[in-house]
Amino acid sequence: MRWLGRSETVAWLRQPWPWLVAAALLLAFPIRFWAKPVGRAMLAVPSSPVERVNPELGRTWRLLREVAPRIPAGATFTVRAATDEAEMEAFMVAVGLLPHGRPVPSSYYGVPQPGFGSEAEWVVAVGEVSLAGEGTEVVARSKDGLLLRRRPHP
Amino acid sequence: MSAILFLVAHLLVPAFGAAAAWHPSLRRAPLALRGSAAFLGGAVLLTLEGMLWSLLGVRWTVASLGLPAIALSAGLAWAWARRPAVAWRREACRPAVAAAGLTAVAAGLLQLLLAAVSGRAASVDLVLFWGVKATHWVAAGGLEAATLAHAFAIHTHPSYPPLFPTVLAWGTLVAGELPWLAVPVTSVLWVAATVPVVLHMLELRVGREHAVAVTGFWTVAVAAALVAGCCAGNAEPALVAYTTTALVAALVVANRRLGLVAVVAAMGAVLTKNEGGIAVGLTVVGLLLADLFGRRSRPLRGALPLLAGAAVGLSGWLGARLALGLPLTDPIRERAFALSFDHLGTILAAAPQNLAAGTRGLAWLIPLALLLAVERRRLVELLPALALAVGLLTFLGVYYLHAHGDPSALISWTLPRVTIPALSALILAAGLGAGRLDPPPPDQDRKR
Repeated sequence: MRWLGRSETVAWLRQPWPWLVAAALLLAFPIRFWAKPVGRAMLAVPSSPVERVNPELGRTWRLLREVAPRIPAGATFTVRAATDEAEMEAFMVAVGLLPHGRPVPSSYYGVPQPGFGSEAEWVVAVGEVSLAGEGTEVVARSKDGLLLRRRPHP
Repeated sequence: MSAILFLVAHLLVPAFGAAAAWHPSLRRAPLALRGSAAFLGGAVLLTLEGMLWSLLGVRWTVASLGLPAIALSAGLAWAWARRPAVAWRREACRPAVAAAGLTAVAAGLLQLLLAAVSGRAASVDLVLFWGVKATHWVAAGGLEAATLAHAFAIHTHPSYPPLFPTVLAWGTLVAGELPWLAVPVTSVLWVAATVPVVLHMLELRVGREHAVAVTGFWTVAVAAALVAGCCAGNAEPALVAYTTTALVAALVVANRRLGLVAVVAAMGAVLTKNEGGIAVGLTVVGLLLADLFGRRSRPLRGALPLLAGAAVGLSGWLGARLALGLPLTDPIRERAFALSFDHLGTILAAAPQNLAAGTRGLAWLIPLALLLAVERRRLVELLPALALAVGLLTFLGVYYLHAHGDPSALISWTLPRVTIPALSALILAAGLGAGRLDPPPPDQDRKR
């Protein structure tokens, strides 16, 4: 290790003050953030755990949280969303918020899953999704989407 | 109400690991350090117990998880309390230094708390899989394979180690439901539990004043990095706690005096995330190199507790997965050794902005600059920390070479948070290297 380091540690480094000054310097960054209007606006408790870092996912979480109590334990459910990515994320969130339900995806990582989601008893539509002709009826509405129940096959 | 009960459940975790506080190596240690050892050890015991109950078909309840853990811990504490305790050196600290250091610690924890409560540092992985596993394990009464081993559940990463979701599941059992908004707040507990470990164990080698100052910087830097990496509500804070504790045990007391701390920390690291195994492995490599360059008389001696803890944790989780039919690998992950060196330019370009750690990179640059001023004689003993810091960054670089397509998104998702154990190691290396050279603890032997 002769090629590394100094022959003697710099004397002032043995003092605690350089570390404390450096800590104060680092603290300037969060202080600056929370002092700004954007920081102060965040001081209120959010209504979803992720809305401040991913507002779209936050809205999806709120919708699923709202409709979850209406879906009976043991029932199959799926989610539908406008894009593959949004649908996958909504499915992931739904699996956590409905641990007593049976999740069946309409698509999984962007790959359509015919015969799974299309057979689910309950459908959560995130945002604007067209479900015309799919034999569903609206059970609940929210500003972030719909909860629908599939009519039994004749 | 469920949020309060959930947080109370976390405060009960030290009861499961209380035996650690009565172990001869820690019984005369400062109370805060004993509390930290109890919390970190309690989470490990809870996880091992949860795995065992799942294998035996015992349903997880507050009583089935809580009572045996407390009984076992009480029995161990009683047995250990009868053995003579190891002395713990304490020394004075100027009030101004103590006040400044503790202010830095408090401010660091406060910034993390604010970011966690407000959701600014929330991890989306909480709602995508960490919390998902906890709710399913509670619903199923144990580690659950029926849903999570299904083909449509690979997004929950069923092969990931179980410690963090087990602790969340424990909180859920006590609270009656998982209070999602409260989960990010628990990240503060993991960092707060690590502060006494860094402070009091570093104190053994560099003295009280220097340890106070380094701990202040460590807390502010790690908290800022956790906020920047949006780690509130994921397993990263717990991983930082265990990898840092394992490293401190290796750096400060590379002997059997604090072997229990090293064993528990290594076990906790590998049971928290797969990266924990890599971190422990790199620490062991650093210890072996330090033994080699430092010509210690008993090589491997310092590494043995870490290896033992990691081996128990890894084999326990492997056995549980085999028995329960959970996947052994993660199908979402990239195929090993399918490297694309075209990514090298993207990786090097993306690294600086993703290592800003909420401080424009100063959290990294300051300890790096201080390390350059350390005498070379001291660098040998810092090798465990340097191996962890450099090795983890190198590992991530190689991992990004595996990316399908442009690795930019993968880098921005993972680099800010997965590197935090390396940041912690770099700070500890600089802190230990810059401190005054105290004689090592009594049973740390070297050939002179």
